[in-house]
Parts: sequence; structure tokens; C-alpha cells
Amino acid sequence: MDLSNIPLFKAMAKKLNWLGGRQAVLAENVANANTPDFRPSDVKSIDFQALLSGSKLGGTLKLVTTAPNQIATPPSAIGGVDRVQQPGRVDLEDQMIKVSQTATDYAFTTNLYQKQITLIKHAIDQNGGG
Amino acid sequence: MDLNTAMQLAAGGLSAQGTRLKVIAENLANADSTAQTPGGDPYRRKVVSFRAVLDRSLGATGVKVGPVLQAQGAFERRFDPANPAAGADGYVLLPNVNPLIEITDMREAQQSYQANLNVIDAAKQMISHTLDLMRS
Repeated sequence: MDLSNIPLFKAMAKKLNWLGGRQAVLAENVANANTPDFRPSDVKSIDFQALLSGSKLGGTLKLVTTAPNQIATPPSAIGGVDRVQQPGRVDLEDQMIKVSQTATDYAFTTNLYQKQITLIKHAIDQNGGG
Repeated sequence: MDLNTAMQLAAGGLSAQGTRLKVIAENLANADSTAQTPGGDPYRRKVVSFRAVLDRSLGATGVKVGPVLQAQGAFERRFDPANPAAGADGYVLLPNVNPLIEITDMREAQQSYQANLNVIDAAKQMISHTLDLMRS
């Protein structure tokens, strides 16, 4: 049984990955909070609705590296999340709120994942016990 | 893993703010350092500069400390002919360090340091939540 074939698990894995990527982008903003001319960025939210309804992901064309010596198009490298440039300077309060929100969402999703696993385990137990 | 990247970026931020604090301490410590020779220049305030640098191994933009620059600005003059550092006109040049500015700068460095620590905390929490998945 491959859990990633179940749409809900696939969506949750995608969400966890996205949250991790977002946290890295936010870390970048905070680290550069006092760098002159630095513009903060955030990540584009993924359409989880489309993910759950089973449509194919990543329909847009992207630049790819076809040879190992090509330089990767840099900053979008984090977790494959799409960045969005934010206007203005880095606002530490705003960033802190986003960081804690991301951490909370992450905890929520991992909890949900755990619950689903428990549910599946129960179903397996029922079958095994007869 | 992105969370490790987040931690490394934040650690870079910590180190940069640490360097900044070091330079501030230097300025404050030398707030009264006059010249060694009569009529010479006293200590000149130092300013740290930050640069956003793309770390290719992380695939993210971290922060690096650029060159430590010397601040422009006129020296304060005090009439003190008995001072060994006094020039021919009897005036001693004092460093262009303003403690108020340094302290404000220090507070900002402290705040940014705290923010980076918060990011590390959040990333750590997320990693431990991921590890908790194995417990179910």
C-alpha cells in the first residue's frame, strides 16, 4: 500500500513541503532584515482544492536544466515553491507572525497526518482481528 | 531539506548581527580614544555593512557581513591645551562616536538577533513534529 496514492495524504505531504519551503523563504527575509536594498518575498499559495480534486499538478512550463554544468535559476530553488516579491522593506513583526503561523500550520498538518494513519491502522486491525 | 535551510539562513543572520554587535562594542569602548600624537586624528566610528548573498549550496539568499567601513562625520573639538593629544591651537579632537546612536543601533541588532532565534525555534519545532510522525 502506497500512502502517497491516497489524495489526502498526497495533499498533506505537499502542504508540509510547501510550509517548509515557506519557512526557508521567511528565514531568508529575517536574516536579511538589515540588508540595504533587500526586498522580502513570500511564497505563492498552492491550490489545494485542485490537488484534492485529482487534477494534474504543475501545468505551467518551467525552465529546466538539461546539463549538469548549467547554472540553476537561483532563488526559486527552495522546495520548488514559487516566490512572490513583497513590496517595501522587511517588517520583522510581520515576518514573525508569518513564521509562527507557518509553524502552527505545520503542527496542524502533522497532527492530521497522524490521525489519518491511526484511522487506517484501526481499519487494518479490524480486518486482521476478524 | 528546507527546514535545515531555514535554520542555516537564520544562523547566518545570527552571526551577522553578532559581528554588528562586536563593532558597536568597539565604537562604544573607544568613545573617548583620542589621538596618539599631538594634533592627530582620534578613533573614527566604524560601521558594519550587510549584503544579501546567494548561497548556491543552499539555493537561498543568506546574509553576509560586508566590509567594515569607517564613518564619515566631523570630530568633536574640545579646548584642552594640557592634553597630550592637543594640536597647536590647544584643541583636542574627539571620536565621532555618539553613544545614543550606538545604543539605538545595539537595540536594533538585538531585535534582529531575537527574530533569527525565533525562526530557528520555529524550524526546530517543525522538525520535531515531523519526527513525531514516526511515533504514531
